[in-house]
Amino acid sequence: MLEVIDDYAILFLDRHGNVENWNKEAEKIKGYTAEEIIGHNINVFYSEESRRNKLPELLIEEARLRGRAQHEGWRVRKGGELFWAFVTISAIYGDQREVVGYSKFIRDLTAKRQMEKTTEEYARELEIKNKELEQFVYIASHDLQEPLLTVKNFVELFKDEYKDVFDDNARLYLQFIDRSTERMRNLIKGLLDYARLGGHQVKTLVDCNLLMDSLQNDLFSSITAAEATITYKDLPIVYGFETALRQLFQNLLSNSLKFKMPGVPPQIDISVAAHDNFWHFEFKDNGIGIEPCYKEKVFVMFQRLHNVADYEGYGIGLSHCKKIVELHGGKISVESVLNEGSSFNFTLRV
Amino acid sequence: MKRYKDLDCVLLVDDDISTNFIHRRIVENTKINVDVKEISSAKEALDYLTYSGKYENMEHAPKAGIIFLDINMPGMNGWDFIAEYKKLDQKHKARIVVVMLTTSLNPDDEQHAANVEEIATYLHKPLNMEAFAQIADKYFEVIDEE
Repeated sequence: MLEVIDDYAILFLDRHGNVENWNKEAEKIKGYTAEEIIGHNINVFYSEESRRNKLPELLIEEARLRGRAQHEGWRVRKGGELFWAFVTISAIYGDQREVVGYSKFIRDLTAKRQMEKTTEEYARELEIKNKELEQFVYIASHDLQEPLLTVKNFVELFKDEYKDVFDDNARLYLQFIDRSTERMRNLIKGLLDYARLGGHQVKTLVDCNLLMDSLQNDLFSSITAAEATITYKDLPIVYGFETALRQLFQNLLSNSLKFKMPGVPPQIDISVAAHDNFWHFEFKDNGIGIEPCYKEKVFVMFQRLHNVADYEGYGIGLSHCKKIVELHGGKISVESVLNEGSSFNFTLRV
Repeated sequence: MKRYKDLDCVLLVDDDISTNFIHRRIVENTKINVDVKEISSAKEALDYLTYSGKYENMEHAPKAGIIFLDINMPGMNGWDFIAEYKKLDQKHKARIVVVMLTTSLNPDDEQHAANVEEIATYLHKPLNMEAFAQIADKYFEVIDEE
């Protein structure tokens, strides 16, 4: 029977810890044949150091006193190679309840231990990377903003103190500097906001109908100016980060208002369907649409499809949307026909 | 002013108008007699080369000799432009030298540029007068030294 139990080396020892019986798996794990090992003491399986510390004797003693001893540690194969073993030694009793010998089960866990070590290392690396990212956010917020602010301040001084000396050309240069610093300030802010999305927030139940109602209030002037019609009803209550979800809805709405077809009042329809444990949201508009080749690119940070002169912007909104949806375990994508409209689809876990 | 054969016009293709402004100054300050055309998108640059869109019937406009091309542009970027440029009829791109001009610090971009036959060289912004004069000397024949 002993021969067919895989992965476990099973051996029987006499009272003194000498090997009496040896199975095939033991031969595989320890490297000795039965002929070679029977009659030898188990201390041959232990390293010099373990032997000095009397580990084999201590384990046998523990098994004798308590009936069982377990230990995980390095053992030595024939030829000196080390392996990581999980060992159970149990006492075998005679008719008079006296200990007559021991059974010893040994499992080679070297591979498992290595895997655990790899996982540990991976987790540690991840932790370091996260720290670096946090550090990066700090650098962006402080070290990059500071020189930028200096440029901005001195441009202001120039404009105040030298306004009579400057000709049109000089004023044009200042305008370039001004616009560039303002743009950079906003890009850095977008980067920072992105890094902070969802951090230090608690998930709550968010009623998307109420969310849309209040957004319509906030965006009242731009909705009216664009003569936009927005429809939605029976939106679900979802469990998530309220501020982030609000931003998601607001970014999508603002985009539809911004990228409207010239001369055509925007029509924005929001609908939801539930299946496979997800709410499937659709934000559909009749705007200028997106060329199919840019379907992925629009969600990448700082990627824009239009020149600043045509549409103001920083290429931040949809990258934020993507991160927010992913924070909620969902996915976002866009379907669009150029000059007919876009339909942004995203999922949120039910 | 120096003149070069077939170098009538330099095309500056960049979505950032302040960059185009600076580059125009640099080209103009070099003592080379050449027109400068600022273009703010890759799509418009293709239109310029093929006399289409807003450049329809503009065959008389100076023919581009050098294109300074930005990589990072909204919509069609520099790489997308190159892909379209490759497909152009030979008559539209004859004797044109394309120079990739970028703020990218990504070594992959430089490597990529080196592997594209259409890209003569790859420079970091801003363009400077010496680099421009060198490119003119390397790829064009001087016809007037005055």
